[in-house]
Amino acid sequence: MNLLTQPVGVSHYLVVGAVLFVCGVVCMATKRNALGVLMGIELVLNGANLNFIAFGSHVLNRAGARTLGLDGQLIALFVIVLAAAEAAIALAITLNYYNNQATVDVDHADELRG
Amino acid sequence: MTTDSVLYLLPEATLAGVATLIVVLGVFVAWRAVWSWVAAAGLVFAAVFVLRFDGVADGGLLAGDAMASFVRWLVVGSGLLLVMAAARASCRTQTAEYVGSLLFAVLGLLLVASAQDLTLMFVGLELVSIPSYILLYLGGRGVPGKEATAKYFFLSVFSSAVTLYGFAFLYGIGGSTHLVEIHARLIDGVPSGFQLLGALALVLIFSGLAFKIAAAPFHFYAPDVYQGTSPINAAILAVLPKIAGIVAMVRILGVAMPGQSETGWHLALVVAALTMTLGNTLALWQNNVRRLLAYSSIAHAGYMLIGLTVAFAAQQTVDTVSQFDGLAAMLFYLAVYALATIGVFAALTYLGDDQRPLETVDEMAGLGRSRPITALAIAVFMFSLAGVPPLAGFWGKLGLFASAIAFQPGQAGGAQGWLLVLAIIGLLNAVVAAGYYLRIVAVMYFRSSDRPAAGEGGAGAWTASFICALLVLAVGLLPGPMVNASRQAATAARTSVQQDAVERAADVAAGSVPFSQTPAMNEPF
Repeated sequence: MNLLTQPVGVSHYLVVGAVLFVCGVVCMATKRNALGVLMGIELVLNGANLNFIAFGSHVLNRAGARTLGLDGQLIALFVIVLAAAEAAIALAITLNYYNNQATVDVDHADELRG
Repeated sequence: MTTDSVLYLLPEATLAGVATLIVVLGVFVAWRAVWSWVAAAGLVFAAVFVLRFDGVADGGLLAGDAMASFVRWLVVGSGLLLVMAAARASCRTQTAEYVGSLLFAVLGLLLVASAQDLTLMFVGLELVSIPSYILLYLGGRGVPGKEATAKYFFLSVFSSAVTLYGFAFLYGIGGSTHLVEIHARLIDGVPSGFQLLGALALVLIFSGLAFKIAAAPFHFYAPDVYQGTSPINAAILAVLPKIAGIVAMVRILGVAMPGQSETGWHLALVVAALTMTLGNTLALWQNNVRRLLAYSSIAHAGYMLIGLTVAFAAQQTVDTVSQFDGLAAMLFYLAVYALATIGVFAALTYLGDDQRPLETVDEMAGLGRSRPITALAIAVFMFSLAGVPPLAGFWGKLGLFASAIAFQPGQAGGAQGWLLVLAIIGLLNAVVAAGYYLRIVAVMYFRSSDRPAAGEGGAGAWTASFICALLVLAVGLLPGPMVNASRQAATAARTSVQQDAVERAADVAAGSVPFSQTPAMNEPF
């Protein structure tokens, strides 16, 4: 089944969501800057959000044949708020880390090992 | 009906109120010791409400079943013990936010305990995680503390995101965020075209929750973080997220996702075997006490996953509830583990002082003579964690191994033999684990030291560890009530996803539920 020849549906959104998820994971794994890692987290969370909204949308699901109610949109709103709370704490932690290490390079966090 | 669930949520409301009060007023009141008492009072009130308004919730987002009340008791009890153990730290070195954040984490766990909906479950899980970052940030001292905070934060946020991604797929195939409806949809098998998404949802949710319980290969943060922070923070991180992860596993993976058990038991089996072997083997080489206990907590996560493996395998057979129920054994083990872990970290808190906690195993030398009662309590915890009869940990291990060995296959081929192998790996691990637990006991009693431990961690920590030791002994000598409670909890978790379905279907038919959830699936691929 070729996505390119189809009208835009849930599957297309799932693919975009998966791309966002993978980009986020790669970003978290490769970025050495703590803020870069934070951006990766946001990408992963929004990839999941996109999936929720795509599954919940009745427009995408062929003229309301499969409505899932508003649950998907609701959980996406919750996730946005939680992501904001996490970002606030992330910035506090990063600032504090910078005060101690004079860098935001996470590779310097290697004191504890063994 | 709504009054019922409002009253049911009184413990959560109390804790939210008290925690907010502490965080807001903490700025203005200089006398810090008061906040531990306020927090303890809030938890006692919450416990009274849990007792009074037990299982009266209507359907909706909450499952007010025996599972919820078992976990709520465990959580409120653990919260009270943790507040006691942290009393000294929170009045000497910490701001009021410390104990406030602890209450928020307990509140999140209470929500997870009765969540029957993915939204509420995720909010509850985050409400456990976010305060724990603040606790780590406030509780850790110096460069190692900050490093531990940064490591834990980034990995934990990532695991939450992975869990959420899995939830999204589960929502897609289940057609709802409500676990009862997901179960009703999936009981006939995943709709065609969605098989891949079902397996993806299972693997992603399992991975995200495996991080919370520190199971391999997501365990590597635990030793670093526990070592870098204070003993009381280590206790919080070893207990609260683990309860959250196990409960979410029971509610979502254990009962609400039928039809995925084939993938499920293979995955859980490999992870369980890997986790306990890795944890126990690496613990043998450690000299830092908190690092050793971190590896021990990893190993215990592995034992608990035996229960999940049995539950997954049992989903495939005809009769789902046998006398040796995997989920019940897992919940019992969780409670026993929580008691012993809080106890041993509380004892370590007591043995240290404000400046420096007890760091290495060698520093515990001579405790048998200088601090006989604390040493005895630590010995009780070590024997319980090692699974020596007649202590509580023995019954926990017995239940788990018995559930794996006694597993009767219906038409599911293969699972029985592998579960037997898993039980044997578990037994071998228990023998290896005895090595490092007994080493601590031997150091305390058979080695002398000219520099005795400070023992300035405060009366609260001492009392908490003493109570834990008594409870471990009591459960060990009289395991019956708790075994029954855990068995009822597991049964309730199973039946409430099914029984509610009948009630909700009736509600939908009567038109009292505003949205209809019974459309035909059409093919997205």
